Amino acid sequence: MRIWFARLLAVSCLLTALLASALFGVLQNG
Amino acid sequence: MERRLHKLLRISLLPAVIVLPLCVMLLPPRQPGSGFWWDTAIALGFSATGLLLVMFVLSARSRFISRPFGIDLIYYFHRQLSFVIIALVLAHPLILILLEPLLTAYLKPDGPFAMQAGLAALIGLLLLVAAALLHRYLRYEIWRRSHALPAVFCMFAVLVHILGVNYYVAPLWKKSLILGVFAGWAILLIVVRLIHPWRLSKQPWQLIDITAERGRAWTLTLVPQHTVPFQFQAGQFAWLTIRASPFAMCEHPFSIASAATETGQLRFTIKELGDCTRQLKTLPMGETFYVDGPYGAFCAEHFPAADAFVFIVGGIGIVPVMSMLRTLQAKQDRRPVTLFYGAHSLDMLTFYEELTAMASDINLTLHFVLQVPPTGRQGESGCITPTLLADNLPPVSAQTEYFICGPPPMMKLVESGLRQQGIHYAQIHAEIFNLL
Repeated sequence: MRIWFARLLAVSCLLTALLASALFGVLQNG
Repeated sequence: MERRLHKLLRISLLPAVIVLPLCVMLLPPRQPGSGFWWDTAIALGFSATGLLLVMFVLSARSRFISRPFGIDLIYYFHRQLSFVIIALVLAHPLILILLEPLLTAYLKPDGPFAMQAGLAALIGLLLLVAAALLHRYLRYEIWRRSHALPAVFCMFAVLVHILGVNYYVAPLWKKSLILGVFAGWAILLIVVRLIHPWRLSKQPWQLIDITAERGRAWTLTLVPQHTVPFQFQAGQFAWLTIRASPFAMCEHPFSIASAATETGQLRFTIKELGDCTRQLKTLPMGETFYVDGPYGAFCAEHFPAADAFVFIVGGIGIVPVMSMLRTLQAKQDRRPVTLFYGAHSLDMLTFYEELTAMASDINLTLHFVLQVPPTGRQGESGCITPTLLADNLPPVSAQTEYFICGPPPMMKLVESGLRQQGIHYAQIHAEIFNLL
């Protein structure tokens, strides 16, 4: 379970980075 | 509840590290946009930089970060996060090159220095991850150094790349902030690689006894040659530096076998598995050790309200559990304890005699599960399977805590077996034994 927790956290980091970067792209050009 | 809050607090630092560099870039004076995909690609690079800094924090063995999770999980997360960073770092130049193929000219040897630095960081990171994946084929000491030094090089290359491009962080205050963050990283490095080893070097331990155990294991007894108290919780482990300086980065993690109540000495029971562990039995009495610890959250002590404990171990995974059992015995704890201990044969059952004697002293039920049982022996045989657990586990209670430690396939099987019995995942505690 702890292993899945760590994996989930890593995937969350990836998704956060992708979303935040896309949002940055929008705000920077908005 | 408090433990969950501590976890949440630390986890919330992750999105902050990803988002903050982007917020800084958006604050005035802001550079004009260069198109959605271009700016998104740049932001991916900055997010990856934030996470790279996190990687150093994760491997710094900070008790503040690791205490609520257990450092084994922190190291496991460090490994998982490396794949995320590689994905982000690769996406950064790939998107830019797709948008502007002429950029490839910058990556040639005569290209701008900032771009060369970026390319060097990318190649360095790829090599770093490749070496980490292939660490089993490298000598441990070589692997440690080949991981730590290139990581520092990559970080410097990233700094040169960001400052050299000098576009998104062009305003002085933004540049100063970036330099400040990297100065913080440099201080962390100094603390972890110089100050901490220096402190350890002032706290040596001396080997006073080596005892052979069943299962090709050896118990080493160490006594401190200093006055700094060493307090630990049963089930924790420490990094031992043997026949080397604490600066040498060649320490190995080993579980503490002593009871937490034992004072004045530390015992480690170590199985012969690799180059380092094979030479332990040849160490002379009086050999100097350096002990970095304690670490880990695989502790029965964290659950004072538990009405019973179930330990399920395989092979040398018995050591942290032995520390907990010895502590329960020392405290004459009368709560029921059940131990499932899987091993190849009777000869491989480390602590067999002590466990058998312990069963008559505390409320301990033993299940030795042998793959090759001696002729005529009663009891379980084979492996610890969900069926074996279903037949032998004590009645399920919400107040019982379950601890698993052993080879990864066994742990996976046991965890699924416990879940099949309706045991809540929060009651199951597993030690990730293989930290690398």
